[in-house]
Amino acid sequence: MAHVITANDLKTGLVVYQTDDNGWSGSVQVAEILTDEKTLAGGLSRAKAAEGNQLVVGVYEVEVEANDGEVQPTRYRERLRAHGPSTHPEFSRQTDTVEAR
Amino acid sequence: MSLLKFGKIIDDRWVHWPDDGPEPELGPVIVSLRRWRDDRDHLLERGCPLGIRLTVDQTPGEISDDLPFFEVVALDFPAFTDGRSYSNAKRLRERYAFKGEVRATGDVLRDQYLNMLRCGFDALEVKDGETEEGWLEAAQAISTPFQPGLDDAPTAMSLRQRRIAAG
Amino acid sequence: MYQYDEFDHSLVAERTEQFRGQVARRLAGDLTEDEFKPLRLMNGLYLQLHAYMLRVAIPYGTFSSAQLRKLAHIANKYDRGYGHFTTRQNIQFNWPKLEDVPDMLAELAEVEMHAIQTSGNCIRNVTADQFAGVIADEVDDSRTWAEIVRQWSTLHPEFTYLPRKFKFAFSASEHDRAAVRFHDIGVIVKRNVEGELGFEIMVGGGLGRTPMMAKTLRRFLPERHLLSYIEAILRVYNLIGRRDNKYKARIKILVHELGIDELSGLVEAEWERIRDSDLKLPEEEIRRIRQHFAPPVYEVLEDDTPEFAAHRFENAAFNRWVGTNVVTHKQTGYAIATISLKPVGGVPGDVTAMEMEAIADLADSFSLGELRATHEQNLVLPHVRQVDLYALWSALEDMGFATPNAGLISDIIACPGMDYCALATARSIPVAQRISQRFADLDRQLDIGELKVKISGCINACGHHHVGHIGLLGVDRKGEEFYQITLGGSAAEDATVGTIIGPAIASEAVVDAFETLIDVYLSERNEGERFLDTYRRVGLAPFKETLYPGKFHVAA
Repeated sequence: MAHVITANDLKTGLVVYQTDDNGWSGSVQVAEILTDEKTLAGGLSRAKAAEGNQLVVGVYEVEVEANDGEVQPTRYRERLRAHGPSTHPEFSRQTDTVEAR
Repeated sequence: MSLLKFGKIIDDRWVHWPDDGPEPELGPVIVSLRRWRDDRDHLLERGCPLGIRLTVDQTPGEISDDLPFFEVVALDFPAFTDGRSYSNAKRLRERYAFKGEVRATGDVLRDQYLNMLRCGFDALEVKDGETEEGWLEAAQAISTPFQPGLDDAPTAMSLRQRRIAAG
Repeated sequence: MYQYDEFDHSLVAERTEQFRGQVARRLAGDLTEDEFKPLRLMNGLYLQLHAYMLRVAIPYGTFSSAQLRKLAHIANKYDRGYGHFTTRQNIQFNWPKLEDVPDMLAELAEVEMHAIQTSGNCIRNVTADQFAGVIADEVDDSRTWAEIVRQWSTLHPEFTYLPRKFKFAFSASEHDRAAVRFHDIGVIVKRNVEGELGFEIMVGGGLGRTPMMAKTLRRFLPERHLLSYIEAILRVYNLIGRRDNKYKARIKILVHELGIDELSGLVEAEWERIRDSDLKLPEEEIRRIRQHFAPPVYEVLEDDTPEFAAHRFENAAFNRWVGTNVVTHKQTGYAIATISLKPVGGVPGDVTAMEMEAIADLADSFSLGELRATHEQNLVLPHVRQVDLYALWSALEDMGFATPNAGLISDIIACPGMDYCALATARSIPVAQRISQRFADLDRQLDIGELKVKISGCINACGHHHVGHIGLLGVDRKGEEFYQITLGGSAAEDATVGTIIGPAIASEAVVDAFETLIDVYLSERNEGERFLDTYRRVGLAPFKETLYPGKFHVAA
């Protein structure tokens, strides 16, 4: 079971995913994929630290599938969150990336 | 624990006597409603100033007849989001005309200070961390209230009435 | 409309600076999210699925062209160029940045607007009949009282941390256009047999997970006692409303669990002590507020001039729009015009900044600069000269905002749903769009007649589905979007909670299900019956049996 860690950027409110270099990106495609309990716990702990440093807010884990290098959340809600509202395709997250930091 | 009173952080001369704790030395003491009911005679025999501590679901009505015995009533905020003590403070002041100290205990934070003052609290048990400047700033955040309160800020309605009367 | 004096201006300016300080402390780590969240909610700022969301208050739905222009400016400068009108006469921006919000509030304060208490466990935006002040069937302009309650409720120090949110609605007519029976406190302005003005106070209405209709707490309350009485209600609720379970914390649960008589006893006992306090309304204050809502100086005009009649006769589209979107004004020669924010296939309630500017211009040209927002997510121009209706309609046509569907099947109310809302279990906007597209044909819509469709994306019911003539509730069935249909709800004076018709229907099948329900109505209806009337006469059975053929044995 694969997971990524997500949150909202504290200042902008935009959706971000934790990357493997301790940064945060708007794109779920570059999120660090955590494949077991131990790495998941580690990822959450790093994310909580980022919360404590006023970088992000509302940290939680999202179940994903990674097929042919494409990362896709399994729950529809999380896919909406990764891509943007279906009612406004112009806000698709593919065009709106938050810089990894 | 320090006491914020009249805008100043001072040493608290009162001691809380927890229900499961030993009796403090003679001196001003705040006890729970339960201890007051169980041990009233002894507390009065101590001959020291008395305060009473209510939990958030106890009401001033339960102690209204005994208020003359207390210099302090402490009202609790188990979480700052639990607003019951605001109503109880107002009742103490308005319905029972309590003139002693009404103090807030528990989850007491600067952003609720002005609400507390306007509901009749005049003292807060505060953790370290906030400066007097911080509390003062919070107390001055909104200068003219839009409803009658227990601090001395005139309401918008009264100021408007004054203006109309002045012609 | 109400104009701020120096005290109102101070309040919004100081509140903005207070919040600015709180944002700075949050960003510096001096406030945790747990400490900050209730504070930002009480300044109207949510954290939603994709971003923050700022909900700006439009008190009792009345606002000006200047305010609308500022909203357009804010949409452009701080957001993504659009706003969303809600089911409580507010407007929402979906993409503000936390660090920008204090500046947004400062700009709003310049035009006498704010986001105070539009969320949080406190008293929320006071709503009212969108036709207040201009409709003949009202006893008084309910906005006088809504404004008095708004001021009293603003930053009320005792009621800032209630068990849960608290919503007021005002109506002054037997026709309830404000859904007062579904609010925590619903106020009906009325006259007693002596002709004195006062209020029926109803308490404990609400939708959400447990829809309930309000019960009358007091049949007649004299006007000067309004604030003291509601203060007594709020004090009792603050002290004994449930705080153990967020879903059982509204006053409706207290009414249900205590019973209206016991609650009334507690309220009356509290009220006895405070009715003669400073909360008693002085005559001068009532007069001062009432003056703000004095009718504008209307011209002396006639109804149905030959020119107007000619336009109706010659232009079928205009005539149709007058029939659906124009309501008779209490002043001869004037009209109340509804601007539908439900164009075919559009997002209900959404308006772009450019459209806001254009509508503001129309308000200046045709409505003495005044607008209303309705809880059905439309806008109203309340002071239109009948002779100007044709020019107004032409301008709306050019903008694509002349959809003649007020109250018809495509005038759908939909919450933002899972496209935006972190609480949602399904999307609601796409279903609204698909229904709107399927029933786009205007002749068909007119034939179907009045039909209030309301769609919620979760059981919190912000789309008011319980009180739709047809309601849809989006649910999640194993990761797929399904919709549960309710029939026969009404938010008007014939208040009714809708009945669930059967198992939830898959998203792909929902629009066809709508067709089926409409077909049943059309085949069953008597002359002049609306959908709701037919449903009430024939009951659920014909609809249920047709929609779920052979699946149920429906008891007679």
